[in-house]
Amino acid sequence: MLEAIWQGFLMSISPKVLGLMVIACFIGNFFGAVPGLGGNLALALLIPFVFGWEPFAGLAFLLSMHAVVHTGGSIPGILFAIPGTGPTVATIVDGYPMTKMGKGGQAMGAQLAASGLGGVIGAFVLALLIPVVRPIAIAFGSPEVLMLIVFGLTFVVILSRDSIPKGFMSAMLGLLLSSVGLNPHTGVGRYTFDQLWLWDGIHIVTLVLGLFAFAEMIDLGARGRGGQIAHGEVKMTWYQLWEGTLAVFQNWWLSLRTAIIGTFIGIIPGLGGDVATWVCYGHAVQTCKNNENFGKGDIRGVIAVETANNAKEGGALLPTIVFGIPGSSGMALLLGAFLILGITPGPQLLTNHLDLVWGMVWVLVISNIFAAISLYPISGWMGKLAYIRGSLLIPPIMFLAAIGASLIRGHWQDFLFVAFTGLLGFSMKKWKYPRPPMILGFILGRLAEDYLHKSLAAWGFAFLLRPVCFGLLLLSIASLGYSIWHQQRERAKKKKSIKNIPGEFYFTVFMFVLFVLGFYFSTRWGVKARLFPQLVVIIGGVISLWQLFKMKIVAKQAREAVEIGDEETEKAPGAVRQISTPRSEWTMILWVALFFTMTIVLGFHVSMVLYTVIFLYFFGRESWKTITLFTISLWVGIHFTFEAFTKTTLYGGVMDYLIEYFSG
Amino acid sequence: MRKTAFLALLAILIVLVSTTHGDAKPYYEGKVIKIIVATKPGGGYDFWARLIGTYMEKNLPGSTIIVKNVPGAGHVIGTNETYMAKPDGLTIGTFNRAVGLTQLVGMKGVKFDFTKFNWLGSPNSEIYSFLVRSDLYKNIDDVLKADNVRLATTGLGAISYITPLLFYQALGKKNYTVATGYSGAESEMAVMRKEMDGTWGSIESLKTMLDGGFGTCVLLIGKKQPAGLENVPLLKDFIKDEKNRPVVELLNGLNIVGRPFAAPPKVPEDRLKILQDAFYKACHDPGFIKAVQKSEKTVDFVGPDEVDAWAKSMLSLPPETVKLIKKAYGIE
Repeated sequence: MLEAIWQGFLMSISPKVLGLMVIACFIGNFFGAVPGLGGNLALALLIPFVFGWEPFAGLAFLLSMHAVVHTGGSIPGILFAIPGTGPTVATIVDGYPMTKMGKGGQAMGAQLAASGLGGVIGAFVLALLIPVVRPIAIAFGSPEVLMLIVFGLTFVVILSRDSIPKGFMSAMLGLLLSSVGLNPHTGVGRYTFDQLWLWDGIHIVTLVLGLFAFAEMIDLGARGRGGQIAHGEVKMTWYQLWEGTLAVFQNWWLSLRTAIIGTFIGIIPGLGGDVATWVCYGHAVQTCKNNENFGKGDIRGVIAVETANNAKEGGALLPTIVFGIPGSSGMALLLGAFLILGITPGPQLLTNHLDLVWGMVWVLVISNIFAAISLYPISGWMGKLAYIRGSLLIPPIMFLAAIGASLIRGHWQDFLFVAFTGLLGFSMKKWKYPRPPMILGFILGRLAEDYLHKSLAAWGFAFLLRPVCFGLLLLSIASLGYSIWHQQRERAKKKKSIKNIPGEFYFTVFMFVLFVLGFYFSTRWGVKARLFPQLVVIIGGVISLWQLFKMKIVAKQAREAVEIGDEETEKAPGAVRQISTPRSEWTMILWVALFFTMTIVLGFHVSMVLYTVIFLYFFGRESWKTITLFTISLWVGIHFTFEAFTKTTLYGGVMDYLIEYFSG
Repeated sequence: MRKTAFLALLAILIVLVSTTHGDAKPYYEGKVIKIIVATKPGGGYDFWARLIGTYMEKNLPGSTIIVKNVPGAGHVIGTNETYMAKPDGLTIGTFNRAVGLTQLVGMKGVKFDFTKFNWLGSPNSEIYSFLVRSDLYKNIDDVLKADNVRLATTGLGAISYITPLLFYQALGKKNYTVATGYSGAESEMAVMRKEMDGTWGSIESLKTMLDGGFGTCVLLIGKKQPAGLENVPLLKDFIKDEKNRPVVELLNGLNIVGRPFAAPPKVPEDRLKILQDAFYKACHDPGFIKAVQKSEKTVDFVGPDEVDAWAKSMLSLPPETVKLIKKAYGIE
C-alpha cells in the first residue's frame, strides 16, 4: 500500500506529467470561466489528442483539466453574476453581493483557497473511501437518493429568509420549470407546446444567466451610465485576496464538513455538482451562527459552495475506478478516454494497478493546488473590472452571457427564455422574492420525480421503510422543523414591518397566473405525467392566493408605500448610492429588449458591432475614439475566445440564412 | 465629423461580415459537423460516436466533429432532432436501433419517418444479453419461474424497454415489472445494489457486471454466443414455435444493426456521398479497429444499404406482429 502511494506520487511528479498538468490547468480554468463552454466540451475536444499517449500522462492531463474546471468557473460568477458552469451557480448567491460591497477580492481569495482545499480533501477522502465504497454504493439505492433530495428541498425554508411564503412560491416556480420537457417515464411532452427546443427541458445555466446575470445588468444599467457594480474607490488589493484565503482556514470546520459532504454526494451517480453545491450551501446557512447575512454577501456562503464543488470530483471518481461505472457525465467522458488510453477501470484496477489509482489521487491534489495558485494574479487583475463604469461593462457582459446561453444547447430560442427569466429575475429582486429557492427547486425537482418513480417501481410504497431511507426521512422532517422554528425566532427578533412594495401586488398576481396556466396545460396529460406538476402548481397557487390576501390586509392597515432600497449598496461603507428610478429601469429593459431583437435578427457578428456602437453612443455618451477601440477589441476578443480557440460557431442570426439563401 | 465616423464604422462592419462568409473551398473544410447522440455521455452509443467522430474527422480534412448528447424519452428526442436537423450535411445522429418501432406503433411525439433517413451504416453488430442478479437466478428457467422480476430500462421506446415486453409477451408470461428512467450505467448500478433484479443490454456494456460477478447472463440475442458464454441459450433456439417467429426475427434483426448512424433526409447527394465514404473509411481504419479492440469491443461494419433495407422492413412488419408490439407498448 505505502509503496503504491509512493509510486503514484513519483509518477505524478515526473517533469513530463507535471508539465502537462500545468497546461491542463490553464485549459480547464479557461473552459470553466467562459460561460457556455464547460468541462465536458473541453474533454470532448481534447480526448482525441491523447490517443497514443503514454497512459498515465494522458490520464493526468485529462483528469487535472476536468478537476479544476470549477475553480475558474466561479470568477465570472463572483464578478458579474454570470455562471461559468452549472455547479458554480451557488457561488453567485454570496459572491456577487460581496463584489458589490467592494469585497470582491475577499470573495475571490476565498473561492480559490476553498476550491484548492476542497479538491485536496476530496482526493484524500476518495483514497480513504476506496475500501468501503461498495457498501456505500449498495446502501444508496433510489429511495435513499430520493430522501437525500427531499432533505435538500427542506433548505427552501432556510433560503427563504424574510418571507417563507415568497420563498415557497419561488421554489414552486423552480419545480414547475424543472418539469418542462419530454418526460422519460411516460413519453409525454410537458409544457413543450410542440416546440422542439423545449423537449430537452431547461438548462440550469440558461436559467441562471437570465435570473442573475441579465437581472443584475438591468439593475446596473438602471443606475445610469456612471453606475458601477462595486461602488467607490478601487479596493481590489492583494491584501483582500489574502483576507479571503485566510477566511477559508479560519472557518476550517465548515470547509472540512462541506468538502466531505461534497465528496459523498459525488459518489452517488446521477446527482453531481449542482446538488452537491446547493446541499452544502443550505447546510452552511442552517448550521452557521449569525447567518442573517447569507445571500447578502457572507464569505462562508462562498467557502461552503467552493469546497464542495471541487471535492465532489474526488467522489465522482470513486464509482468510475471501483466499478467501472461513471458517477457523472464528465466521468463518463473520462471513462471513455481511460479505455482508449488502455486503462480499464473496474475492480481489477485496484488489485493490479493500485499505483495508478494513487497516481490519480496525487494528480487531483497537485492540480487543485496549482489551479488555485495560478489564478491569484489573474483574479487580482480581473477584480478591478467591477469598478469600470456600467456603460462600458454592460455590452461585453450581455454578449458573453447571451453567447453562453446560445452555446449550451445550440437553440437560438433560448434567447427568448433568457430574456423572460432576466425580466423575472429583475422583478424578483425588486419585489424581494428570494431567487435561491427557485434554483434549488429547479435542480432538485426533476431528480425528485425521477427517483420517486424508480423507488415506486422497485419497492412500491414500502421503500419508505428501508432503514437508511427512513432515517433520512426523519432527518428531513427534523431539518424542516428546525428551519421553520429558527426562521420564526429570527423574525420575532426583528422589528415587525409589514409594508407592501409598490407593484408587488401585481407581480404576485403574475406568479398566481403562472401557476394557474401551469395547471391548465397539465390537465390533458396522463395521471403519471401530470401528478408532479399539478402538485407543484396547486401548492404554489394556494400560497400565492394567501399572499395576495395578506397584502390586501396590509394595504388596509397602512396605506403607505416604501421606497425600495438596495440593502447591499446601502451597507457598503462610504458608497455613494446610485439611484434607480422606474423610468431608468424601463429604459434599461428596453435596451435589453433591443439587444435580444438585434441579436436574434442579425446574429452575434453584426450585433456585437452595431449594438455596442449604438449603446456606447446613446447610453454611454462615450467619445468616438473610445467607441471604436472598444468595439473592435470586443469583437476580436469574442471571436478569438469562441470561434478561433474553441471551434464553436456563434449564432449567425436570420442574416445567416439570408446569406446562405442568396449564395445558394 | 460624427457622421463620417459612423459611416466608417459601418464600413468596418460590412467588411467583418463579408470575411466570415462564402468562399470556394471543399465543402467540409472549416466546417463543424455535429453528431447527435440520443443518450447521456458515457453509454455505448456515446462511445461509438466519439470514436467514429475522431476518425471521420481524419477523412474530412479541415472539418471539426463535435458530439452533442441529446438524451431523453427513450431516444425519441435525439432521433427527432437528427431527423429535423438542417439537411446541410453538417448534422448526423446515432440512436437506438429500436426507435423505429415507436413510429410503427404511432407513439405520440414521434416526428421522424424511419424509412427516410439517409443511413451511413453501423460500425458493429450487437449481441444483446439478459442479465440478472446472480444471487437469485442461475439460468433462464429460474427467471421464468420467479414471482416477479424487476427490470431496469431506459424509458419508452428504448430497446431495453421493448425487448423484455416482447419476450414475455411471446412466452405468455407476466411475472415481471418494468422500471423506467435508468439511463446509461445507472441500470447496472441498480442491479448491483439489488434494487432491480435484471436488465437487458449489449453484452459489451454489461461486461463489467459479468466480470465483477454482480450478474449472470441467462439469454442472448444475436448470431452466436461470444467466447465464454457458450452455454447460454440464444433466443432463436429458445423460442422455436412458428407463431412467434416474427417476434424472434424482429428481435434478432434489431441486433444485427448494432449502432446505426444516419443523416437527416434531403441532404444533397454529393455531401451524403462524402459523409458515407468518410464513415466507411473511419470504420475500416486500422487505428479505429485497434482503439475499439482496446476497449474490448469488436468492429463489424454494416453498410448503408443493409441498414436501409432493415429500417424499411421494420416498418412493414406483418399486422399480427404490429399488434403484438402495440400490445407490448400498452397501446390499444
